[in-house]
Amino acid sequence: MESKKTLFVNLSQKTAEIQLLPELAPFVGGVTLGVKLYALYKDFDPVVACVGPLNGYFPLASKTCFVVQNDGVMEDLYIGGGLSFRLKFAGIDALVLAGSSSDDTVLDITNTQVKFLDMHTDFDSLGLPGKKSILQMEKGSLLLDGYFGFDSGMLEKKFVAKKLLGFSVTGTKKVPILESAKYQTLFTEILGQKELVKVGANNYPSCSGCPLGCDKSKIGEMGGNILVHSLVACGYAENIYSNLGTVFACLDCLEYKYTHEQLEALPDLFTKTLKEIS
Amino acid sequence: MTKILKIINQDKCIGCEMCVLECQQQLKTAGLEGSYIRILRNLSDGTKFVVSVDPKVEELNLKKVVKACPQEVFAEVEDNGV
Repeated sequence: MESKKTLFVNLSQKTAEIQLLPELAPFVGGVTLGVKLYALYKDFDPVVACVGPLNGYFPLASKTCFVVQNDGVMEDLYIGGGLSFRLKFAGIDALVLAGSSSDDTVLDITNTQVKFLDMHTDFDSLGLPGKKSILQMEKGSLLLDGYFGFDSGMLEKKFVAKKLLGFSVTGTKKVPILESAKYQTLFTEILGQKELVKVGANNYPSCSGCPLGCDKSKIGEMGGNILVHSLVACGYAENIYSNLGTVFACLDCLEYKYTHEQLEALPDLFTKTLKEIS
Repeated sequence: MTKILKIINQDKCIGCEMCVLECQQQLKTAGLEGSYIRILRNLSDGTKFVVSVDPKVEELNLKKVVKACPQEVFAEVEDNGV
């Protein structure tokens, strides 16, 4: 199994470092990895953003999971748009935003490099076209790429407390697909199951890797299926990505060495980690 | 006659990047780097997208690229040299 690569950003000290954490491999990604990272860094009251093994590769696996503590309760929030692809191809599994800045700050992240910029930063000037996603506080709300957001206001509260005005993520990594024929077959099979998705096709701005353009993408999701949200697939595609056979085939094709037992154990791992936090 | 990929309905693009995934699949790779199609987002109006196509896309199976788009943004047309 692979180590998890975390970009740890200390807003208080304006420092950033990559942490390779092999012991976190069983946490797979998304919400399970997010709560574990929260547990590890809880003294910093972090905002943790995680992607999963399927982001950037398979259709309908288009969400980024945010884990925060809100009034003593752990919450998992999911945003669509293109952020999951950018984080994935920045080469990181998780972004940990720890501590609080002393002044209003903007982060410009390109792969694993982080620049700390001030409140006068022009967000439009950040990142590389086609390879960037920008999450920005605007009129009290967080907006991703000018459209996608969160419905709860929880993450906004955290960003305000951290004096974080937003961030840009640019991902420029390119990964060869070793089992190309198998990958394409699986990709097509999954796309062929889109009638199982709980939302209908529409013409709204869509999340990367989702052809549906549904009306739900704008406000993201909260909570849901642990396996699906560890991957991190869209909750509305639960009927596809809660099928362990499909998931195992996808992971195997990407050369992840997880076993069925490990995938089945994710809900317990999640619950155990929540207990560690409380 | 050579076939080219033409953007016929840019206004219909929903930013799903299925075209990017298709191009990368044909190149046996994953990622946004080196894709022959890029989707540029507009921060001030997140409902608008600009589709940028590298002429090298003609090395690919264009029928598959056209089919990958759920909004019929592209068409495969004959290059009339104009």
